[in-house]
Amino acid sequence: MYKITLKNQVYRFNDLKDLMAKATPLRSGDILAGVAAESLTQMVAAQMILADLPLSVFTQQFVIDPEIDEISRLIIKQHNLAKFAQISSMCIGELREYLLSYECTPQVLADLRYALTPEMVAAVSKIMRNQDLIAVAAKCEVITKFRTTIGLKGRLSTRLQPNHATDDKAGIAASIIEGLLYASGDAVIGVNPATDDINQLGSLVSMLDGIRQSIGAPIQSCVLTHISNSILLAKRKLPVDLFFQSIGGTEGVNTSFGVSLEVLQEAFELGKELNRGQNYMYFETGQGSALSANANHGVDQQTIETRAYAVAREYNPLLVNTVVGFIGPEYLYNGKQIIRAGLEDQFCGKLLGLPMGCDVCYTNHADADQNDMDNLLTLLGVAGCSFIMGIPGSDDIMLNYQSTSFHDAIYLRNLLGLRPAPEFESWLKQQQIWDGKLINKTQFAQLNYLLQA
Amino acid sequence: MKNLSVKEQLIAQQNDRVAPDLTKFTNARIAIGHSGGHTRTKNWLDFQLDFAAAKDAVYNELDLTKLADNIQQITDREIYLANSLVTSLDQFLTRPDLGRSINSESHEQLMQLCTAHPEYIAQDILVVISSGLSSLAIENHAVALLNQLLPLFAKMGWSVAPIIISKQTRVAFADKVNDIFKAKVVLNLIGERPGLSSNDSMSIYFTYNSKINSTDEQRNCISNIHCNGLSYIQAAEKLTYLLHRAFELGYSGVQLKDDFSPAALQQILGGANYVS
Repeated sequence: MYKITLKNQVYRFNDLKDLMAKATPLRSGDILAGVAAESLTQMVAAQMILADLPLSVFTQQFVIDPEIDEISRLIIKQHNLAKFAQISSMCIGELREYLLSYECTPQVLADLRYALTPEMVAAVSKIMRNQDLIAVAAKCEVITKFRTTIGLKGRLSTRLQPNHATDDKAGIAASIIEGLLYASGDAVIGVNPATDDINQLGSLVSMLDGIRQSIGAPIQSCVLTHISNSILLAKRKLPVDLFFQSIGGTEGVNTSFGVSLEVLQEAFELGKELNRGQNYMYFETGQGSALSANANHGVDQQTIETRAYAVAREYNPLLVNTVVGFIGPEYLYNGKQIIRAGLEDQFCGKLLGLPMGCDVCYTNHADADQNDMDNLLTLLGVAGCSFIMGIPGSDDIMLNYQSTSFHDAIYLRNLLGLRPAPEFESWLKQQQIWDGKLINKTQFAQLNYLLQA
Repeated sequence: MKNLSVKEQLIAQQNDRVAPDLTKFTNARIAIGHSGGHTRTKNWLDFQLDFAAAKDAVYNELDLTKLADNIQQITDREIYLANSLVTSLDQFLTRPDLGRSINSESHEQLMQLCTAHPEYIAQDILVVISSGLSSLAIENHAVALLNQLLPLFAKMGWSVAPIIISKQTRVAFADKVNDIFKAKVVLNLIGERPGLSSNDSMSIYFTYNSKINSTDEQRNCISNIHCNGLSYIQAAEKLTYLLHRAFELGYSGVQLKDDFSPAALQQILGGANYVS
């Protein structure tokens, strides 16, 4: 039980999860869950208590009982008590100031990763304004590698997302060609398949790898199907580069996705055996998925999202992508809520050591539009986001939502002087596609070959 | 070398990155050119027009009477209405819990119906049709799809419960309805989130042995049914095959792998009728 008196009014909070939920900047998903603050003053009251809470409280109290949740157990396992000892006397408010201080350099931040638990990181984010989230995220450096190196300072990568409503191969190839000609695809060429058909999935995997080999580009590909399918395909000796899975921050939400830590571990070990690249896991997350699966345990959606990062970091992923506005207005109602969530996820993920990218996106039933996405895109560019999506004309014709386009990535790179991943950048120069800006007279010799692939 | 005018210079750098004829392979917004790194004016405004149409599709309300009339044209199966707890569009958008729940009046009516007609209970298949997020999807595709599905079900020897129609409901609503009808499999034909390229895309979800607390991993989905996506016959054949597998295996969901081929279905249809 936590209590504070402000302006002659007493505010009480039942426990840690109640306090954290009430301290969370308002969003529709927490209202839907019945855990949101009932007034703005109650929210600030919760934030004030949270600011004075010692970090050590988070090692004694859990928002979800470890007895009933394997993610809570994983979080305890990951927590490095020796490193934590150096900051254990701080409270959450002091942690915020420490993160923002000049002393807290990228090296110091990297050293803090396992001193902090997801709940501590979520807690501090709740008392940080947007500029705080951006400033600290921009200081974090998380570098991962497959055929390209992702997350280097001054670089911005993109996932080329060439989806097609019926997985038509020529259609997918046409979007890939266009994307490559816009210098897109250095994070991954990742197709969301419309089908679960294992043979069709296998043929997509082979096609993507065939394109890579035919153009000699240093890129990696992924067919974003359930991880059990990728395991099956890899066992059939198909060229699976990355193992993809949507994950969440409770055991229950992962069950609803049909996965567990055991299944993820199986893929992780298989990927190690295949030895195709250094980091080979690709995770997607997003606030609200746990509530949507009735597996939120009364915990606010941003704290659960941050717990999902414990799952992700257990497997040294190449990419973690928060698909921030995809879930819809019942969880993030409008542009303001989507932008805030995008910045929180970037900060929390990076601080916990993840190669965070963002699917800067919205659906047509949310109160948001392309201008909101321009705002978030620009803010994330400043915050040092590792990668964004590249989708033809912002319009995903299979998943029916809007994200960022090939053009948007060019805008951000040109505006902020950001460059593609070094290996990909060399290839782009050699192909006369990009030299710091788009090269106009680009010809692409393999174009016809690709369409027949 | 000839000096280009400002306009000529602009045109020269706005070249499409891929040949326009590649657009025949996809509806994706490729070959749209660029100015600097940015979109061209026509493309930007085309995008805004499609965005506006998609927003409008969310706000369009499904005409249930007309839907029932149209279904009646193709089948003599009974049609009944069921409502969720949702009372407004904004509530539908922000309260999925209400969209998943059946209201007590509908619940009671359907209970009474099943008491009066015990033959409605425990059929092989229950079809629930819902506007979801695009009433246009249901208006444009639901009846045409049923027209392909019902004869296939008959060929397979599967019995079908009365058809349930609804608006402003979520996928799990169908499980609540099936809690009354107790069919072996419940299908939900539902309008997807409107996109820019298709504001009338429809999905079919199905759950074998559904419970009122069934979650997504127990469901399978066939999505993207619209004029530029999966055709009615493709969707109907794939669904029939997957249902056959679900009956055979006794489950649906993540574990039910989609290994459909038209030949596999023909083999099933050609062989002895499978009766569940």
